[in-house]
Amino acid sequence: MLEQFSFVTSVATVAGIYAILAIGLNVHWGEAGLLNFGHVAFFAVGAYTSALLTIASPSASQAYSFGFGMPIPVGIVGGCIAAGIIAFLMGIPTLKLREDYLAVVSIGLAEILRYGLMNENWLTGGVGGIYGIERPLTEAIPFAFYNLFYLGLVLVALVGCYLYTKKLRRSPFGRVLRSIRDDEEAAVALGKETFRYRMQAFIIGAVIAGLAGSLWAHYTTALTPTAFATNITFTTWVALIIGGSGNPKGAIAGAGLIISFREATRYLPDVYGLGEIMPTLRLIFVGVLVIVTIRYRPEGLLPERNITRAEYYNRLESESENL
Amino acid sequence: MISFDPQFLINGLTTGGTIALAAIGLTLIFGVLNFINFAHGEYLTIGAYAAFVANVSLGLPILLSAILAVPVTVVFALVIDRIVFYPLRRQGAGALALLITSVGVSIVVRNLIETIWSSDTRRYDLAAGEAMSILGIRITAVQIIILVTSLLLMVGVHLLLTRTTLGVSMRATASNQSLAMSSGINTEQVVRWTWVIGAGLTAVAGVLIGIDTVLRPTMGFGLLLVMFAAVILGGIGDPYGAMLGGFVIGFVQEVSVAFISASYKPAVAFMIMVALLVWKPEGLRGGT
Amino acid sequence: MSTESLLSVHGLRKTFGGIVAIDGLELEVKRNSITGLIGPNGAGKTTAFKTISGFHDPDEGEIVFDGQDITANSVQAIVDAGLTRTFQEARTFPSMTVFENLLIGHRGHRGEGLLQSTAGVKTYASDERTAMERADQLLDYLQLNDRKDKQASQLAVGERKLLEIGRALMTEPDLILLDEPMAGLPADVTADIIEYIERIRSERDQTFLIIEHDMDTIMSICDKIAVMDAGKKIAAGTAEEIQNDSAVIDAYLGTESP
Repeated sequence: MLEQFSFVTSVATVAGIYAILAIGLNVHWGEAGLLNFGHVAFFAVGAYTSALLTIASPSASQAYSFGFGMPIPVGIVGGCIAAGIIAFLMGIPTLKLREDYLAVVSIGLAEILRYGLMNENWLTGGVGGIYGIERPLTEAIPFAFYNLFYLGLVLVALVGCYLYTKKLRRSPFGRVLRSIRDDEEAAVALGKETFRYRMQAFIIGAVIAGLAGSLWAHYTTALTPTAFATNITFTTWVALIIGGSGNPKGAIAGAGLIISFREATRYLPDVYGLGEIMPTLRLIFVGVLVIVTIRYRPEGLLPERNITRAEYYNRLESESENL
Repeated sequence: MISFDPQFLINGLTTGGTIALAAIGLTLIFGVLNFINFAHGEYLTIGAYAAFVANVSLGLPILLSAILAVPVTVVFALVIDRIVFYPLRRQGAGALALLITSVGVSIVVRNLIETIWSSDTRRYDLAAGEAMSILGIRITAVQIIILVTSLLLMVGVHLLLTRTTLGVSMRATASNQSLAMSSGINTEQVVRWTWVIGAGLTAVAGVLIGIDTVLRPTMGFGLLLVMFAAVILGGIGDPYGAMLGGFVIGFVQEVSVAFISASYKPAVAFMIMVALLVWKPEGLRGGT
Repeated sequence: MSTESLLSVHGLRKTFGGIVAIDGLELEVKRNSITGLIGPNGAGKTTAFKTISGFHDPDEGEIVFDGQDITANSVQAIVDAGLTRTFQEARTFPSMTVFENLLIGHRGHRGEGLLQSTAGVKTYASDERTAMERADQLLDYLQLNDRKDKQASQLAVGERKLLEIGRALMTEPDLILLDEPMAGLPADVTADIIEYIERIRSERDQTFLIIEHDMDTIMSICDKIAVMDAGKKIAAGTAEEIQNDSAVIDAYLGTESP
């Protein structure tokens, strides 16, 4: 019984981290219409930055040269900021590109980053990676409850990201973003500085992904470059497509479904003897699901919902009562 | 100043030749159908494994296997288009929906192959080739085959594009679809033949790579970004540009080993592609 | 600044690659007028609109709007100065509601900044209230109130044209450039749009510069008409003067207007 419970907790934690990733990607794609296929890059930058900031100074036998031994909250914030900076640098040349070109460029950049992670041993520990990353509050929380505590931490972060992106959606900023997504030239004709909005959306989504990365680093306590391959981006995209893009709830639902499906099918091999081919069968199923979703229900499970005039008025009235 | 080592040239030409073959198909598809097909690498893989079945499972000689791989791959490509892409095109789906769908197709095909043949590397049943030395440059029989095959096929493509009505229609549609349609070109037929030629060439590239190295289920997908780089370098929709782009990328990748660590070799192609898309998206040959 | 001219264009020239799209264009638009811009296909009318509204920078020439030189200004600066442009295909934002489409038009909304939107309504309440009240008023004026929460893509084409004009009105323009507002509209809807344009001109003190191919519309609604061909103005005047101008007849020879 305890084993099942622990299993569910770990699955939920992974699902929660993917949900945060998906919310970040939703800001890019659902709100701003940015086809970002390099999302894993921000995840990786967040993870490695938080790891390097919090880990102890390396001994001579370790490949990486930096370790700042800072407290974990500093690491997490640092991970978010680093992801944001990378987004800014990546965005300057690429955000003015046509959407499908952005897809290709963003994978290219993410792959270049991954090669950097593998080869620049002095910074990242290379292929061997970094291990022994600290977990927060290990002394204060009894071992038996630790995973539950960490799940709680991830859920708090998830709720925070959800509430923030929901707030942005309803805000004037969110309205301009969606107008740029719908028709950039028409938005320009109304006098909007479209590049600045896209860049800001790009950075916000990246910071959220960086947060997911930081939480991941302190959860798994070890990082290697192979963990940050394109399949993370792919899983996040599938979560968004199936759950419903343009809708933060959809991102969460999609992540929950995909991860549950993945973990649930891990146990089938024992029962049906499909052992070796289960991973590939699972992926085939997911691929077919994507194809079918785009064809028959492109808006996903929880479609984007328009905000009504009444809702805008209610928000204005209720929040300015405090004025 | 690094002295020019002709060995780079040979290695670059052979790598580049296979990339060029695969890139021609990708650029024609993009030009004619106006979407970036993320499943394109899988035609390479299908071609390689089809030849594997013929050669290793059925015991046929490698040349015959290579020839058989082409129609098998072409049929796959046409079937995939008919049941997946065509319905979307008909309901007016945009380039982005097609792109995301092609990602799904790529996942399905790749994992289907891995399900059947596992992720172990496979090899063709070939007599080991000897390396020769011509003018101090080491070249294997396999590399000669690759070079000759690629060049022959490219000449064939050139003849097709310039001497046949179909070829001219393809070029017209690839560079300006609405104009082509209004001049009475049957675009659905052009589309079909574009898949045939594109997938066929890519299948041959797959077999050549399989002959040169090994087969694995991710062999096509792993080269996808490099193919994109070649296409963008040569200008989208331009088959001659794709040929040029493929050779340039192959060459630059080999030469780069002299300057930066060999483990960055694939990243070199990505860096070229990113730089191009940002500064000169119409490619080396300029805009149309 | 005694000028009656709200917009003056002098010696405007714009080339693309080797092609000369605008070749020494002269144009005057009087305040509170409805001025027409006509000419055969390829005369450069839409290019002129794009250049005047800031989407292109001209190679030579001068554009003076409301006494200000706006020749090399950005689109945003030109919208702020009071000149707004619409599109031929009624490019309303398809996934957004009618109400939202109007809200976006409101200029200088401080809430659109990321910091303010993050901080919350309290930091931009007055701008939001103003924008919403103005949008409500336009919803009534354009009789789109019952469709205010519908997605723009679900509107009929005539309603979308009206919405686009409404959205342009939200930017508080002095001059609106309408690019073929009647394109693709059935005859009864055309009459409605014409009526709206005239009402907006007189009731809201607006000036319009309209590109159109539909001759009936142009002749009935425009105070003055300028005719373009091959990037230049070849004639200007009232409807009668234009109809009898030999240069105009030559330019249109062989081109039947629908």
